[in-house]
Amino acid sequence: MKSKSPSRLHTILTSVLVLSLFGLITFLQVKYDRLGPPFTTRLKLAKRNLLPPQILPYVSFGFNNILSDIYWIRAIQDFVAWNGKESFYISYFKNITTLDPRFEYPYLFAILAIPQKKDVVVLNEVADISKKGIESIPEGWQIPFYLGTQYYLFTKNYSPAESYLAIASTKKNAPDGVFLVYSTFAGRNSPKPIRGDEDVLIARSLLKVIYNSTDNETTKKIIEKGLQEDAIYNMIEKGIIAYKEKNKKYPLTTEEMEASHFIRLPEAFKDAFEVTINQQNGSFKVRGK
Amino acid sequence: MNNNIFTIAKNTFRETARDRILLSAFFVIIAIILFSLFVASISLDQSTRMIVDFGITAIYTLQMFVAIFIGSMLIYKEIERRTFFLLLPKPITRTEIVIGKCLGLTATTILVTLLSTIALYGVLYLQSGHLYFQPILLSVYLSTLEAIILILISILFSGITSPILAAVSTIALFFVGHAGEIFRFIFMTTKSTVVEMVTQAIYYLVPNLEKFNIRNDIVYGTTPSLTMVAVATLYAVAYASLLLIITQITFKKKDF
Repeated sequence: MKSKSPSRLHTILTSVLVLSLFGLITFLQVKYDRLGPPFTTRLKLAKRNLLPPQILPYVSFGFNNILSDIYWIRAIQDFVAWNGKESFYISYFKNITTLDPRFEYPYLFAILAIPQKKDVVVLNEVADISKKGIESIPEGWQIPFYLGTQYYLFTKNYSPAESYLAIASTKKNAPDGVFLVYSTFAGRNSPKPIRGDEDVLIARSLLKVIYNSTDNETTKKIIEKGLQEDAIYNMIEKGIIAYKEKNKKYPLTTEEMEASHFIRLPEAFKDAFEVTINQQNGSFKVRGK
Repeated sequence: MNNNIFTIAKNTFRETARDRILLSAFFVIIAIILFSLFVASISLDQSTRMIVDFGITAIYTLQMFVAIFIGSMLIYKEIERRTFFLLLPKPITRTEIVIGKCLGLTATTILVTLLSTIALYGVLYLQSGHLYFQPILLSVYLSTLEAIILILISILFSGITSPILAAVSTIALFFVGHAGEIFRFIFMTTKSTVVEMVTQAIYYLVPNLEKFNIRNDIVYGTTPSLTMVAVATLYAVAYASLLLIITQITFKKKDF
């Protein structure tokens, strides 16, 4: 019994000492943190020294994929703290795309997130990076489309916007919206819309309002069909305008517009309908085959 | 297979598979594969890519660790513990010892590779359901070939120098092997004949390890052609045979 008591006391004292030391360590850490600059200030100082992209491929020693991933994660993390001015931030994307030129998402992120306050110089720099992506991902439509959209929104300079949208419209997997935007751009100087009179616009708006407010499935289906047809009509109309703008004459067939990448009609529509285009004023008629 | 080689290979496999350093490294790699789930969660819609890249790089790092660090200690340990001297008087040739050691360590590398690849497939299946089965398997196969070359290099060095120097030398060759493009660029652009000859010699004689690297292509689902894989395999076999002969000559000449 006698020998157990000091041992128990020893255990208790050791435990107290360990806990006290933990307490002291925590206290000292808190004290140390208070002595330094506030944490939020340090977060703002997000300047990084990155390796130049020119030497990166030579020092990656087969670890290109993981390095580009790490740069990507760092780029996302630093985006929050980045003030939109520091030029180092764009280097992340130069490095990522040098290490893995086929990594598409960083291009899109860079195009959308980096050019701020309508800074065209930065946008041009992003465009330079993105050229690598356009070459490396030949089937991708997103990079040229996003770039074209940004050029239009930032600079109102239609020329680079149109050239990038033209690239996007040549991609096989591009959605119909790309063709619609491209044809709208190409035909922007057209003096008057062919079919865009007020009645059509009102009818279109009405259909959309009814579609959004009705619970009746049949009504919805009818309107869906109507809106779909309307979308096709709208596409053909814009395609004709764009074609006229580009070639100084109206297209003879819808195939001509498709070949110029202004429109892409659904196969079912082409099988069932025939489009006749008036060569005098560009108006068109759709007839069943 | 020769019975002596098989016995040595079996013992080497047992010994290296039980190695605590290897066990620790294996758990670190499994932790990295699991950690990729966290990285995936902060990668902005790139989760599958992150898991594949982190996982495949972790497996590759483990293979290189086994080849370089365990390989460079293999012969040295035997000499240090004097177990090597017990083998010498027996009717076993030094060539059999080298081949057995190499096969044993290769078997260990394949075992840890298999286990960590299964872990990666598991994580991928849980996260995305898309396994990238064939590209990952092909990548792992090619990096195993690279590991075999490095195992032989480290065994060669471990027989003639200390384990630290053997590891450092193997790492240096690993880096040179992955920087082949630099040498190619130099000898194709330089005007100096001497520089051209030296860099050309390095490019063709030092193992060119980049041909075993398809890790960048996995996430895109693109794999090299069958011919390229066959050529890479033949290259590995030829290089391994060459290293085996050099190691054998070195061991025969060495006075233990």
